[in-house]
Amino acid sequence: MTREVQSLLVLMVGVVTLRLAATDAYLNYVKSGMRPWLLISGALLVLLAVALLWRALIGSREERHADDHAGLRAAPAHGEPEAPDGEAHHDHDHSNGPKVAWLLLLPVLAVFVVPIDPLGSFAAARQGARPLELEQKAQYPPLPRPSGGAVDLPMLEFIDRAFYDTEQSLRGVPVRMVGFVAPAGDRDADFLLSRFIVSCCAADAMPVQIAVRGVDGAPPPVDSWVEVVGEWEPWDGEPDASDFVPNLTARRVTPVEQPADPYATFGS
Amino acid sequence: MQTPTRPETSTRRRAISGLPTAELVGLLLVAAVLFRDRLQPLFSDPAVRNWVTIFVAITIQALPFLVLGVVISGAIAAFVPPSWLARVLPANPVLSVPMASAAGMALPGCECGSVPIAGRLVARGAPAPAAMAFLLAAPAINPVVLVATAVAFPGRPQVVAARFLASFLTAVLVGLIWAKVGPDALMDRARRRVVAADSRWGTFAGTAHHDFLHAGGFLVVGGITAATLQTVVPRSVLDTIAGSGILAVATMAVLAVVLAICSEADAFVAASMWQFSLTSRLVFLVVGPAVDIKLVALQAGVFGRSFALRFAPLAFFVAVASALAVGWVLL
Repeated sequence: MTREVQSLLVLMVGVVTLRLAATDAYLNYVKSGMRPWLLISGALLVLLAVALLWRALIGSREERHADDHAGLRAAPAHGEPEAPDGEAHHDHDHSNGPKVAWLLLLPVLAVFVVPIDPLGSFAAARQGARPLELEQKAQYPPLPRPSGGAVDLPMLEFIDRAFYDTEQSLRGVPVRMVGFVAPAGDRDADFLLSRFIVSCCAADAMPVQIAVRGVDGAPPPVDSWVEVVGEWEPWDGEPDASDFVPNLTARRVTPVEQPADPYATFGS
Repeated sequence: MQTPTRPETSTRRRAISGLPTAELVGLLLVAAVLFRDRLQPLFSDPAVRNWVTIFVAITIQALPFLVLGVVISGAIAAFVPPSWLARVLPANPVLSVPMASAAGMALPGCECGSVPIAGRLVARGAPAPAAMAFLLAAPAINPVVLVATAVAFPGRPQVVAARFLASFLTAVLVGLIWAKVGPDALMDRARRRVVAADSRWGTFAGTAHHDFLHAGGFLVVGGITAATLQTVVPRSVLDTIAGSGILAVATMAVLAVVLAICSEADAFVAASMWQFSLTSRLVFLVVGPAVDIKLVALQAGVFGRSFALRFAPLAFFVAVASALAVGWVLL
């Protein structure tokens, strides 16, 4: 790998990072708080690659000539007068980088070629909605005021209140939530309204799901995004938190665009 | 002196006489963009899409930390005088190892950044045991990770304390064991990684550039492995194993290695595995930043395969033992 190619690789990784962070595309992979860090690291990589590319192009003829003579030299590594084993030499890092660096092309190609989309029903089915350790609250704050006849709620808050709110603040309140559609499987429901909670990146995503029932007609297509207005179905007796999926009777299911940030985070 | 059989010589010949790689790479990218519409249907399978999303996510997520790591690595190479580290660090590992572990607290980030830094410290003459201790401590006990752990386990500060103590203990023990039995020759590869340049800024840029290519390539290897395991093995399999005995501990330890979750996020995943005992979840939190698939790949890249083959099992068993001991006392 010549040093020009090495710098091109670094440049491409930098450009792809900047491109993902400049649009909302990065939100399919990592949490929104990562954006400034992606912009900074992408810019640094571009800067580094351009600086070295420029040097390589300017100085290439001269140094290649010198290297031909000193190709096998035991280069006195710069500023390293007392290498421990007396085998001080330099790796020719400039002229042939590690072969493994070629693999950096993979994420670049993946972003260019494969449609960018968030985790969906496939991942939700593989993981299952496992119970989350939520902060124990003695008392839940009052629900937000309804707008347009329903209260807008993040799915995680709905689930939290459904299981742990002894005051049952959700009882009889129409709520509105956005998520994607996963098949109901063997549950007695039309579909599972689903969303992933991401703490850092999609590799640590955990699904939360709500069983939507009483839908008129066929359920919406799997992996499409919907807005559901409906009411929580209170438990018969004690809630069983080992199955972390509360039921909701739908009043209205409307298809919506995928939100800019397809994931949710804790505490939002 | 070098012998004429150095690998770089042959690679150099190939690079000169072989294919014009720069043009090939360009061509490949242009083709990818031009035929995008035709290529996209090839990736319609949900499992493939899932794999790609997780793979890109791991790579993108680690990138800022990796860049921070190689920038620090470049700065060490360019601005820290060669003999300085050896001089300030006590020769006795009983002193230098805890010092290096404590220094790990100062580097906010996850594990990907600390590998090139540790490699550069060794190249700059730091004693290997101290560098190993730093490598293990930095991603595990820095403030960002501890705060994330506190948020993930609300109302249970003892989990944060246990994580800190067990990870610190792991770093110190591995450092000391390495001082006793670690073959010093395994450091040769890291020591050789010297980028020569005519100016300080040249050294800085050259080192950062080289370390990024190197560590970045191995990060991709780790991302491929972790994405494959996450796609192929459903996490719901765990429900059948859950429990609190030795099986739970073993499961969580192995899971920490294969999931390869960033140390800033692993506490949230651990918190969600409520079926497992708190001690076995502590094992998950202590093993993850010390040994996971992408880390082993990165370490193999920086220090060599024979190093990784010895270091990973050592760190794994010490981490499990430390977590069990601390968990037994605190949790």
